[in-house]
Amino acid sequence: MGEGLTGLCPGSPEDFDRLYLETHPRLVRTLTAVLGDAAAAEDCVQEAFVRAWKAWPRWRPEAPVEAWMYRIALNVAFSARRKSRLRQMTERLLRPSQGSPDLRISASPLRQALARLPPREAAAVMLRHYHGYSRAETAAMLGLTERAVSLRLERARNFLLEELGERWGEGWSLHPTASSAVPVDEKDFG
Amino acid sequence: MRRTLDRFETRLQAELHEEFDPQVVDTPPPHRARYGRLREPRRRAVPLRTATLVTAVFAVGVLVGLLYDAQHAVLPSPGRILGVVPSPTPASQTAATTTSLPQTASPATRASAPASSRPRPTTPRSTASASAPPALSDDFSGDPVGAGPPAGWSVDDGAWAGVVNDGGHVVRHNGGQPLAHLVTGSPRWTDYSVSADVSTALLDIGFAGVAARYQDPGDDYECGVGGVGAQLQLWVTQAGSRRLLAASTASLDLSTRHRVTLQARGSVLTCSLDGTPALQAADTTFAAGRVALVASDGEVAEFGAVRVTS
Repeated sequence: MGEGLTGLCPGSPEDFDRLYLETHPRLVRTLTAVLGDAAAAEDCVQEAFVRAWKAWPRWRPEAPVEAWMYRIALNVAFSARRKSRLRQMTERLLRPSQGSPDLRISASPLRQALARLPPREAAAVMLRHYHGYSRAETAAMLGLTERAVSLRLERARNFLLEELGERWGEGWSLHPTASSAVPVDEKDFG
Repeated sequence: MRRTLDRFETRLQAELHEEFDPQVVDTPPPHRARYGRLREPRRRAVPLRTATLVTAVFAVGVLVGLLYDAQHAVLPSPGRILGVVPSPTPASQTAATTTSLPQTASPATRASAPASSRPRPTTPRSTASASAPPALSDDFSGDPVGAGPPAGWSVDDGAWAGVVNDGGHVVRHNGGQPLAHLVTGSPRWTDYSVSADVSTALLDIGFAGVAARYQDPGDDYECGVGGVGAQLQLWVTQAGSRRLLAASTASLDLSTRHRVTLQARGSVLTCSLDGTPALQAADTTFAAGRVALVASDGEVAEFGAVRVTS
């Protein structure tokens, strides 16, 4: 995890710049999958770096810096997605006849399927299957146990197989047993 | 079946790379990245410009409102009622009124509750005057590292890491732990101030602070750091439902500890930061209760030097 990010010193502006340059593109791609929207992902990543910069003097070198940065960015994204869902629900309640335009209408089936996953499952898929992090690294980034990550990856894979298997057309024969087709965001505070 | 799953995962990896590798990500150089502005010496001008803009928008809104009212009063259309009869304010809307004090006054709060329309704070209907004067001072120095809960405190819900040594003894709540309340004091305490040194990285968008007139984990007043941007916030929690009474507009510097104080006097609640009153609200939901330290789900937070004074 983050082989190029060793020897960083908490509070050092130069080291924070290194962290920023190394992780920014990866964070944007991961959050794009979680949020289903590249522009929203870039906004969340910027917000995450503002928060990370504030907390940078208190970062403890014994904690993997990349996992620390991912946790901040993912928490900002999860929060943004909760607010977005709430806003969409409110708009539908206030203007039921008009309906809100679906901005993801032109997205690929894979992006649409990822956006319909619970956010932590979408993030787990990206970290594990796109970036290639180990289960332990993924768990550290999501603030979960390895077992919880395995369960979420399994649920996400079954859902994606159900959604995309037929489209990808290789005769996938598995019938998923525990699909999480209905996204359930994590319980918010309060 | 295993082979099917493995094949699917391999295909999924390939599709993910095909989908996201071409995504063009604009990574501005560090000196142009937004976080870098925090280091620019001229950053103090930004809040001033923002405050000026908000004030101007507010003033224009007031003028437009006055002109609109004047037009309708002088030139009513045929068949319309002349003038507007104000409807009585529902009791539920007067249960809480909020004020931001000068240091971190929120323009939005001021705009939504002009001084002339604020109901006067009222005295709670019931008081527990028979209790001893509230008084407490605990810096956890008498508790060994690892003690959980500290002597005299009880964990009402959630979990705490216990007492740790971080430049002095403090009570710690870890990132992997759920929403938690650490409670002490008397349920008969009415008017008092509770304060603590609070330190948090606030990785999530939760909350870390002190609670007064605490009844149970779902009923109390809370003052602390919370939200995206880490603002000072004043909450009332009733039957598990939280309602923000007031919040600062400025973000707190989380690299240092902050002294957070919540004073409950009659129906008036005052939330102070580092000894300076910053937020104020009037609420009559709770008249008495214990004190608590609060850390929300997933937040790393440390609390030290707890004081309760009457």
